[in-house]
Amino acid sequence: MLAFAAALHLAQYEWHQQLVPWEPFFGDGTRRVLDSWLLRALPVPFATLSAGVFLLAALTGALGGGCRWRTLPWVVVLFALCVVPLALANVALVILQPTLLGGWSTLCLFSALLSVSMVGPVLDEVLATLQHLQRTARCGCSWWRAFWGLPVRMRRLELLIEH
Amino acid sequence: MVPQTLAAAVGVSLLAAPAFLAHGRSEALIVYIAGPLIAAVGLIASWPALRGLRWLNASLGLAVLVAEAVLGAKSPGSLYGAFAGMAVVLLSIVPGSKRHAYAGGWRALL
Repeated sequence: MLAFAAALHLAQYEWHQQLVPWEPFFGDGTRRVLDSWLLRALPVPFATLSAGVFLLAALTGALGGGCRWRTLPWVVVLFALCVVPLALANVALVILQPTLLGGWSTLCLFSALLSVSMVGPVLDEVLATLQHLQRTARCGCSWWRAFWGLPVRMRRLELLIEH
Repeated sequence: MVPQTLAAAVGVSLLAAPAFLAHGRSEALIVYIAGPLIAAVGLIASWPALRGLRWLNASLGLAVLVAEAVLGAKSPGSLYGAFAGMAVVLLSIVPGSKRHAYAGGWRALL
């Protein structure tokens, strides 16, 4: 939610809701980054897109509880699809700030730090989910039903019991 | 976990180095590109299930070291870049403690 708040603050500047974005260290760096040709060339303003994805990540992150890697695998995958590309985009933005955009933005750096720090736990959960789906498929059950958190029938076990 | 976190800190220091040490244009470009990548990969590799990513960081550290050597500049920034590249390589080689098997990890999926 902290990352969402930071992105929302920057999005407010992009939508002309405020005149000057908050920038404690780099002068008008944030303004230069947000007004750069690269970020303006995107079909959706970058901070607005980030705020939307951070909000979706916060919502999917809150769903399902600690066992969701086996009860709601689709939520884990959706969460990873939000977090990982956003982290990659933020790292790219950190590289572009000094090389191409000509300034630094504290809030962009802060967002990048938070999004990258989320990747580790997210991929940890994705690993558990993928292993669960693989085990389900090896048992002869429908991994597709397991993916959507639906009850699965253990076909192989039923066949063993019948014979 | 600790070596990878330290590698991430070295990546951040690389990114900040041009503000404190004299860098040529090409040297600054190297650290501006490699710094965030090393920091991000180090931070992600500090998670035990993703420790294999440290080899990517070792490659990045080596790339910085080689790039600084090829440029052959003697500026303080260049020397720090070479030192940081070597530090990242050494920190990435350290495997760290392995407490969990993670049911075979990512290899189990193959």
